[in-house]
Amino acid sequence: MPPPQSDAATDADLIARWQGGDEGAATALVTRHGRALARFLAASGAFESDLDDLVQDTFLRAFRSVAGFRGQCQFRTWLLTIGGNVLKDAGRRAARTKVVPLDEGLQAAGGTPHDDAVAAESEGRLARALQDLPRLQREVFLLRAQQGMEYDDIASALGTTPGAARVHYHHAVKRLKEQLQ
Amino acid sequence: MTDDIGNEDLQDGELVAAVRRLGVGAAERLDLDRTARGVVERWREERARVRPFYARPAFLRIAAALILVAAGIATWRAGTDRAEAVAVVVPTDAGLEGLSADQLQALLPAVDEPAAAENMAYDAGLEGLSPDELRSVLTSMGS
Repeated sequence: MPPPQSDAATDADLIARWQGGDEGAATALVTRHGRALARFLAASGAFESDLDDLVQDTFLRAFRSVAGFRGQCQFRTWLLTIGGNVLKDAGRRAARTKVVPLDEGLQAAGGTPHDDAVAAESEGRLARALQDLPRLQREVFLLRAQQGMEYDDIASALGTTPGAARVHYHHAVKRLKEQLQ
Repeated sequence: MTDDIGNEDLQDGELVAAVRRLGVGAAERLDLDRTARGVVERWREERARVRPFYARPAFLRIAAALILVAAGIATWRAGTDRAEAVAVVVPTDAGLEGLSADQLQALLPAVDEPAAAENMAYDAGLEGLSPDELRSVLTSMGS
């Protein structure tokens, strides 16, 4: 879940400390946002075996360009969109399919074997349906539905308008429903 | 940000719930401490690889080009100065004996210029003469 509003100021503080050379601030940022980023990447099609590298790459890319981050959106939203770029670049390099094996990361824990199997089946279909979405629709949908971001934030991070982001979200929902029926 | 699945566009509760479960297991299994250490170490290595601006190849190339241009300009200027000096000296190198009266008259203004006079005196072996003395010598030769 996204951090509450009070943590946003702390993000800014951590970024400032990081820019001042405080490595502890970088560790704090990774600890705070790493799991949300990993969930976003996994839902976007990353293999679990690649998650550690992808999360590291995303933070490094973010730290390289953090001077350009002016607080136009939540740090996490900005970070996740960078994660989307990192994943796209990695996928291009690897030139491989992005469908995540169910036994690697998407499967929910708990429940009976039958429940797990049913959950795995439905989540696998959802994962495949997500892969079929255009990238912008997928990112808007995940940022909104999975990460709970506001449209203003999503729009700022993706360089679009809140209205357009809303349209992308609804298109994504419609296509996912069609594919999942 | 919101977690409120009841929002108008988050009405599709099942879909939203399903997408929120995606990647949860993989994210939970991620060793964040190790990831953070990796980030910091890689960042440190990256910073160490970054050279100061004056040691970067582009800067060095520009500096080398500027030095070459400056050296070229200095050489060209030195050559130009020398050529001007030679232009004044040429007649004296040839010896005053062979010059006509008109040529000697033409040389007189140059004698009035100290620098030119110095060159002429040096080249003609008339080192000890003042401009007035030189003028009288030249006048006598021309007559």
